Amino acid sequence: MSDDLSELNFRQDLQEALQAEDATRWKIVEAGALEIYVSLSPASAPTEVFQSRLQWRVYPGEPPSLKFRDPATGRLDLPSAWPVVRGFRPQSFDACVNYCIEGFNLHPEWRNDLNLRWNSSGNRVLWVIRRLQDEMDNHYTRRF
Amino acid sequence: MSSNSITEAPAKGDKQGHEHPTVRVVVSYAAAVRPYKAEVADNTTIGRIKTAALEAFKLQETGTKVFKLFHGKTELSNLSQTVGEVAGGHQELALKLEEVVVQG
Repeated sequence: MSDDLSELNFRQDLQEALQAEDATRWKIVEAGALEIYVSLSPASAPTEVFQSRLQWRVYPGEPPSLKFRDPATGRLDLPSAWPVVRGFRPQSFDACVNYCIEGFNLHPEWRNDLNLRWNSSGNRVLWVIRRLQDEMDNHYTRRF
Repeated sequence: MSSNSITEAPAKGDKQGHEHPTVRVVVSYAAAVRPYKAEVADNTTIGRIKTAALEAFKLQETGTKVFKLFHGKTELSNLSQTVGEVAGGHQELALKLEEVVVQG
């Protein structure tokens, strides 16, 4: 898949995602051709805002890199920017989950697992954001 | 995703012997902007709903990917169960179609 095609697909899905009813819960900033900052809060702590950075290399064929960003400084290396939820490793600045590239790098076997490997169908921008939101709503305990 | 109708639901006024009450089913899928909606007879199976939802979302279970239906946090693994049984007397039933997700 060419970079141009990735960008085209990404842009189209991002625009669609912004039309979703639940998109009112997120603040999405386009940071690059295949990169967005998504601010979201857990349902149990609506005043706690976490800014995730999602960056694709190829869209929708590969999972995105997932980091959490300190909005004041733009730093991606602050554990305190991360929520404590399942699979997230704030001190390593990565997440061991099958919806980000870091997870697949930690578990290469997931790439060949029929159930766990990356699924590129549908709107993957929306899917990843909703997955994050679901994790925050159901498994958030605190800011790291 | 536009609203769809499964043919098991008899139209209003149809005389088909015993008429089943209908249930409005809404299936959401995280990778789709809009949910799949259908008004179906309460004896429609969860299996039929899943098949219709997969088709509406243009998804296929071919052994390379498994999708599961959830009612709240409960997985609906019995595809012979009816919509009416899951809805428990309610006229609306909200379900989620999910992919398998793993955390470390």
